[in-house]
Amino acid sequence: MGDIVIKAENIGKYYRLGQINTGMFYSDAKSWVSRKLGREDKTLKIGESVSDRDGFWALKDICFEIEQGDRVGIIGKNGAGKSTLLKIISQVTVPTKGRIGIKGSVASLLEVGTGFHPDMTGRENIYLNGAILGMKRAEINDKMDEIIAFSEINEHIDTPVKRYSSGMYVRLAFAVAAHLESDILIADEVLAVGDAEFQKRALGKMNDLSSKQGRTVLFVSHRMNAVKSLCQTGILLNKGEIVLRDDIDKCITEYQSGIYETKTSEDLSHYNNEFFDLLDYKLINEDGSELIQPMENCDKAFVRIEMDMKKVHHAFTVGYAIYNADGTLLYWSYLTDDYKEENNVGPGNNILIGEIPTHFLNEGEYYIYFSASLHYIQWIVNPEEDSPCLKLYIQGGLSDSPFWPAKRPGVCAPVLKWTVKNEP
Amino acid sequence: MNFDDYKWDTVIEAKQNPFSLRIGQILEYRDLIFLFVKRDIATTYKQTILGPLWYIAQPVFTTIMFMIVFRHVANLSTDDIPPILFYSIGTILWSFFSSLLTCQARVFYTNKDIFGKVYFPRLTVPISVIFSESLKFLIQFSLFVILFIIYLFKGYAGFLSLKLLFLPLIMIWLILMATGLGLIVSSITTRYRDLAMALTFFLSMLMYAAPVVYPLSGVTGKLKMIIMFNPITAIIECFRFCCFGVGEISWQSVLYSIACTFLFLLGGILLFNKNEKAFVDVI
Repeated sequence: MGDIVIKAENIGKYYRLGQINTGMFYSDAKSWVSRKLGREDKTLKIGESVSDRDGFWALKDICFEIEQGDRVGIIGKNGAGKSTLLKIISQVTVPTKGRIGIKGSVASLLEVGTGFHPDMTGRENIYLNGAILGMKRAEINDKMDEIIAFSEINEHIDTPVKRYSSGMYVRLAFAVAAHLESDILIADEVLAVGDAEFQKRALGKMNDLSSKQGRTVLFVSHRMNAVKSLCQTGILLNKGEIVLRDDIDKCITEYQSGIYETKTSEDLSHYNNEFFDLLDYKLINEDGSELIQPMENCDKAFVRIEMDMKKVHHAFTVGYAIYNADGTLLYWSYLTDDYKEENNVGPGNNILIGEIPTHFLNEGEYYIYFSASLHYIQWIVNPEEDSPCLKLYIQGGLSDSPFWPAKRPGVCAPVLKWTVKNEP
Repeated sequence: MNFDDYKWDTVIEAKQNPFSLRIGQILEYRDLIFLFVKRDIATTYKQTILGPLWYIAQPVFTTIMFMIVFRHVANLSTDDIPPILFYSIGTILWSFFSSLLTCQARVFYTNKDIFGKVYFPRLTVPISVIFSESLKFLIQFSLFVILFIIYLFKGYAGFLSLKLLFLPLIMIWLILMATGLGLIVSSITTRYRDLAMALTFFLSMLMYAAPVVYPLSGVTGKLKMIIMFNPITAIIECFRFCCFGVGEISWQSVLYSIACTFLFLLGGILLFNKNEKAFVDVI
């Protein structure tokens, strides 16, 4: 057991939604006076009370302890209260109730490059930004060369930052932040900037700071890989409450089971047409049960379509279109591609199962849109326009080869046959 | 273990002492104040041809304008002070007061991006504004000093007196009043933007209700009562009295103005402290 460096007790944060006040000083004053006099506040609607007028608790009764040297990932959906919690710990905003005790100095990176002035040079901005983050001038002087080297700005350091490319800007900003001397480091998705190569370096630096120098780190990110590689423990938030305070792997698994759905949440009857009613559209495993996401690249997965045919047409075909997270179409697949006698849909209930190739898609997020048409005649459900969508998440399972353990660049990641003819 | 058993360096709580200035923390961040001042000074006139000469150009043009309008057209008295000295010191003092007040009034608004992301003692910003505006004032004031010396050589020897030593004190008085008022305005504007709109109008009204373009001795009756009610009146008259030895000052008006200054400053700091944490959620 290490020393406890952060202890939060019953932290709550209340936000008022919509208009902060009635917008008019007169009615604000009236409402304040009536409250003070204990009378009914006339600006409230009938049945409203002051506490629930357009407000909500962004955080409710948050309690936790963080020990010296812990690296804690804070995860949760948008609006779960992650950023609010970081803002309170970094003293940017106050809690509505509760208290937090902190031992040691805190450096918070809720954003990189806070306070950069476009007209000032890189060097001047290092001083300014460093001072805003709490560094002394002597400290900055000591680290100046290191910061410039890390940022790779070199000879442009005495140019106003408004002439920098956005990449240079971000590199410089991160370099300053990475050289902060503090006991506790709070970072909010700052790594979600810059190109892939820089993100990797930034993550490496963060890793360095926390593991080698023994600093306590609080890290918020939506990128589970980054969280996983950086943090040991996690806090999973949902709707302002702590759902789980455990090992980072357990938190991530719990979090992902909450967000990955194999079925579309849309009302499928919206897509009913003169040819068929769409009854079901989902992703399944080999054994017909719902797919467990994120699936591994080597897992077998299928698209299952259930439809009630009302009108049969000789040119009718049905299938899916799959897009990656960038919106690039990977391929179309149709029932009629696998052309054989028994693959005919008939009137009444039909269950179609189309495979998704294993060892083909790369790691990532995919969108599978339903598609139906009369071949070369007309679209019935156009995947490019309005069509039900399934999400598929692939993580891991790329190959059995020791040479291919992690994600590679590229849209797809097929494992292909090779042959060697060796003649000694 | 209980919360209170630990020795915390920082305790974040909902309630905080509204009068605390956290001087210790501000001193820790003195480098930041210096850098803010440097930023404000260095970036104001970047990409202009005249550059820092603008600091001088502004009072020169205003003085010339005032001399034409108020001296030659309106024929107002200057209490036997050479008009150029009378108007130049009036302009310089007033522009210092009004630009200091305006900058303080915009503290939250101009810094909302930084304030929303990083914690540092917020009072460092108003303090750095005082320094950068004072520096600007000193540059403009040196213009007045040059004019003053020229007139000394021309034979206005009566100006030179020990009263000049009071000038720094009067300046602090003016700074405190402008800062107090500015902080009050800035705290209210986070909720009601109306005040930001009204400020320019309010400032020009305040200028005409203060003896900037005319001497206090030039007005009588009810009008004088109104002008005496303006707490800046005493400051400007005192300043002129120390420079030229002419002017109307009384203990009552000085005490009234000092009392106002403290009231403004207290209110300003109270509102500022109340606002510095909450405003992030409001603005």
